[in-house]
Amino acid sequence: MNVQKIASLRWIRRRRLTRICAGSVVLAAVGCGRGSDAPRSAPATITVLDPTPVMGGPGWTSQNLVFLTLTGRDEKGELVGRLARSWERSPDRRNVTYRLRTDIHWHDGRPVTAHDVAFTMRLLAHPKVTYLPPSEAENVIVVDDSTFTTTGHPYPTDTWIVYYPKHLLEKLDPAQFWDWEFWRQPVGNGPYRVVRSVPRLLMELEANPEYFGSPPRIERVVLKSGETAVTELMAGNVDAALLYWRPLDVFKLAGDTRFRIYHDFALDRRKAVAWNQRFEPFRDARVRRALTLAIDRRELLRAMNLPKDVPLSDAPFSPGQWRAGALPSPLDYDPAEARRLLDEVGWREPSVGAVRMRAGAPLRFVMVVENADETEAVLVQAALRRVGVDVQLRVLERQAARSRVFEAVDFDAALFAFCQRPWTPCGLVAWFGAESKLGYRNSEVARVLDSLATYAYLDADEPQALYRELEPHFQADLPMTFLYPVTHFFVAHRRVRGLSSPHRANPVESMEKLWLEER
Amino acid sequence: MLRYILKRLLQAIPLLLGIATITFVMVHLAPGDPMDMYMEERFQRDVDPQVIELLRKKHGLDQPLPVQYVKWVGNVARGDFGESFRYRRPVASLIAERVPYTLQLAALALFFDALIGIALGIISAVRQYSRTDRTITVGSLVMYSIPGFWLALMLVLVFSVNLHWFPTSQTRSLDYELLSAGGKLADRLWHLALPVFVLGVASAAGTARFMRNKLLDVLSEEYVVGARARGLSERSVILRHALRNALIPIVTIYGLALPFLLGGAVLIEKVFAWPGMGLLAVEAIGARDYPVILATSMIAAVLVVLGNLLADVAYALVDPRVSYGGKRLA
Repeated sequence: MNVQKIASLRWIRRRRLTRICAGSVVLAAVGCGRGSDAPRSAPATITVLDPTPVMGGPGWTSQNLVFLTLTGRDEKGELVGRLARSWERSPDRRNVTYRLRTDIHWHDGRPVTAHDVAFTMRLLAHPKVTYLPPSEAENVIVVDDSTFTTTGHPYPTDTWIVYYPKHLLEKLDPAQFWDWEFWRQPVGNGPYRVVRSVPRLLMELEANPEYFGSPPRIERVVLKSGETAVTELMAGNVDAALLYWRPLDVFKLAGDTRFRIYHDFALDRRKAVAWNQRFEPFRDARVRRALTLAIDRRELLRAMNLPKDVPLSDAPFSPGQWRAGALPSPLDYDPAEARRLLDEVGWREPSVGAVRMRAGAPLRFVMVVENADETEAVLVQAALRRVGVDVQLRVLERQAARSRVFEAVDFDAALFAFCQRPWTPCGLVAWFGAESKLGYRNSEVARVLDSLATYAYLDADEPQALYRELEPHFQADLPMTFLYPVTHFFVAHRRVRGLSSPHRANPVESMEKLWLEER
Repeated sequence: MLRYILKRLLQAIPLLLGIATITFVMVHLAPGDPMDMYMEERFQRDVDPQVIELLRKKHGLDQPLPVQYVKWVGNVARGDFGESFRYRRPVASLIAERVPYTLQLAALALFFDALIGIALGIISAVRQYSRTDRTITVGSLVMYSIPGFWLALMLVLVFSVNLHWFPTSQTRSLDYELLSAGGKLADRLWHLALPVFVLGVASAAGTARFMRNKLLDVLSEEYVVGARARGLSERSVILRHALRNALIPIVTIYGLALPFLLGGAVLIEKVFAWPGMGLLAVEAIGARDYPVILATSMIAAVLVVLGNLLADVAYALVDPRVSYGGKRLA
C-alpha cells in the first residue's frame, strides 16, 4: 500500500471518528433535553392511563372526577346520595322527588341547585345533542332551589349522568355541544378540578378543597391518554390503568408483585350460549339441559383466569339478589347425566367417542361467536364434544357477529354477552318475552318480564320478587346456558390503596376514597 | 411536462370517483350497524333506542343507499366529509389533527430509509463479496423479514420498559408544555426515535438490497470502466458517475413509498399510541364509522394517485433520456 493511500485512509478514519463523536454528542443532548413521563415526585399524585380520548366533548373519565352524579354506590354496592340528600317515590311509582344537598358548590363558588339539574336534562335531550330522548327534556319540574320531581330521568339508579352549571352553559349553542371550549377546562362540583388539559395527551386535576365531603387524600390526578396499558405499567409511567382488560391479558401481570388486580362485574351483561329453538334439536328442554350439564362452568372460570367469586346462576337475577347472596345455585357439572338425557331423547353414540346420531342425522350445529369470545367458545366446543355433540364454530368480526345474532338471529347457537336488563332491545324481553328471538314460548315468563320492564330504572333492586318468579321457569327450560357476568379488571400499583373488589375496583370512580403509600 | 401533469390530474378525477363509489358501496354493504357502537360496553350503559333512531336519522342512515351516496358526493365536492359517528365532530377536523402526526412519522421514516438504505447499498456494492457485504446482505434480509409490529414490541420491551432509554408511547412527555423550545424539539425527537426506526428499518433494508444490485449493474457499464481508465478516483467514479444512474429507479420507488408508509404505520401507531391517520382509519372500520372510513380511504386514494404522478415526474427529471409530451427537459 503506498504512502498516499495510507494517509488517505488515516484521514478517512479520523473523519469517521469525528462524525461518530459528533453524533453521540447530539444524541446525548437530545437525551438530556427532553421531558419526562415519570410520575411526579410529589407523593400524592396518581397517574392513570385512560383509553377514552381527551379530545373534544365531555371526557367520560374526567367527568367522574369533576362532576357529581345524583347518587352513587358505596363500598358494599349500596345506593348512596351524592348531589341528592334524599329521594322518595310517589305511591303510584310514577315520579320521584329529590332533595339536593345545600352545601355543594360549583368550583367558581356558585351553589348547585335544582335548576342545574333541569337545565342539564334539557340540554342532554336537545335534538342537536341527542344524548337522551327528546321526551326527557321536560321531565324535571323544579319545586324550589333544592327540590325537584321527575317522571323519567334521572332515576335513583342513574349513577352515570352528571350535571352541568346552568349559569355558565345556558347561553352556549347546543349544536356545538361536542366542541365547547368549556370541556377543556370544565367548572364542576366534584372532588377534583381541572388544572390543565392537553388534547390527546393528558388532563391534570387537583383536589377541590371546597368539596362537600372531606377533601380527597390524593392531591393530584393525571389522566394520560393511551391504550398501551401493560407497557406503561411495567415501565412505571402510570400508577393505574383503566382499560377493560381481558382476563388473559391480566394474567401477564398477575405474578408481578408491584401491582394489584381488582375486578368488578357488569351484572347487566352476562356471557351466555343461546339455543335457537328454530333449530329442531333445541326444541326439547332435555337437550338444552344436557348441553348445560356438559359444560363445567367453574372450570371455565379457571381456564379464563376469572376470579372465584363470579356469580353463577341459571336464571336472570338482580344486583340486589347478588349483594344479598340470594342467587339460586346453578346446575352442577354432570356429564354422565348429560349423556343419559341425550340417550333418553334418542341421540345415541354409534360408537364410543363418535358424534351422536338420531334417525341417521348427527347432532351437529354451528355456534356463532365474535372473535373476542373465541377462547370461551373453543372450551365450550371441547366440553360438548366430550358428550358426543359436534359444534362447529363460526368466528366473526364483532360487528358482523352482532348483526347476525341480534338483528338477523341467523344462528343455531350463539355465544355472546347478552344484556340482562328487561327493557333494552338486546335484553330479557327481546330474548324470552312473547316475541322471543329464540322461539322460546312461555307465557308466564313473558308476563313477568312485561311487569319487570315497567320498573325501568326506578330501582333495579326492588323487583326481586319478580326475578324469583322467573327462577323455576329458567331452571326448568334453560333457553340459554348462562356462563358468567362480564368481568372488568383494573390494575393498579400496590401503592394505590383503598381499592377493593368488586364494588370499589375502578380507581377513577373511587378516587376520592383512595390514598397513596409513600414510594 | 406541465401538459402531461394536467392530463394526469384530469385522468385522476374519474378514477377517484370510481374508488369513492366502490368504497361507499362496500362499506355500507359490510355487516354491522354503525349505531351499535353506542351500545359499546365502554359506555357502561344502554343507550335509549329512541336516541339510536334519532342519530340514525340525523346521519341520514335511514335514507336509501343511492340517496346517501349522492348526498355524500355532493358534500365531499364542497369539502364537507360529514360528522364522525364515534367522536361526533367534523371528520375534516379529526383528520386535520391526525395528518401532521402521520406525516411526521412517514417523512422521517422515508428520510431514515434513504439515508441508511442508500448508504448501506453503496457500501455493500463497493465491497462486493467481502465480509461487510455479507453482513449487510444478511442483516437486510433479516430486518426485511421481521414483522414491524413484533420489532416495535421488542424495542419497547427492551428500551422503554427495561432500560427506560426511550418513552413507551405518545408523541410527547407529560411535562412537554413546561419545556423550553429546544427541550420541546428534543422531546419530540426522543418520542419519534423508536417509531421512525421501526417504520424505516424494513424499507431501508429493501432499499439497501435494491441499491446494491442497481449499483453493481451500473458499475459494470462501459462508461464507468472508461472513467476509471481516465484515472478518476474510485470515490469520484462511484459518487459522481455511477450513483446518479443507480439512483434513478430509487427515486421513482420513493414516489410510491408514501402511501405504503401511511398504510404500514397502522400497527406502529397502535403499539406506540401514535395518534396518526392509520389508527384513526382502523378504529373507524371496527366502529363502522362510515364518514371517517370514507374520508381516510379517499385520502389514501389521492395519495396513491399523487405518488404515482410524483414518481413519473421525478423519473423524467432525473433521467434526461425520458420525456413526456415529446420534449426533453434538458
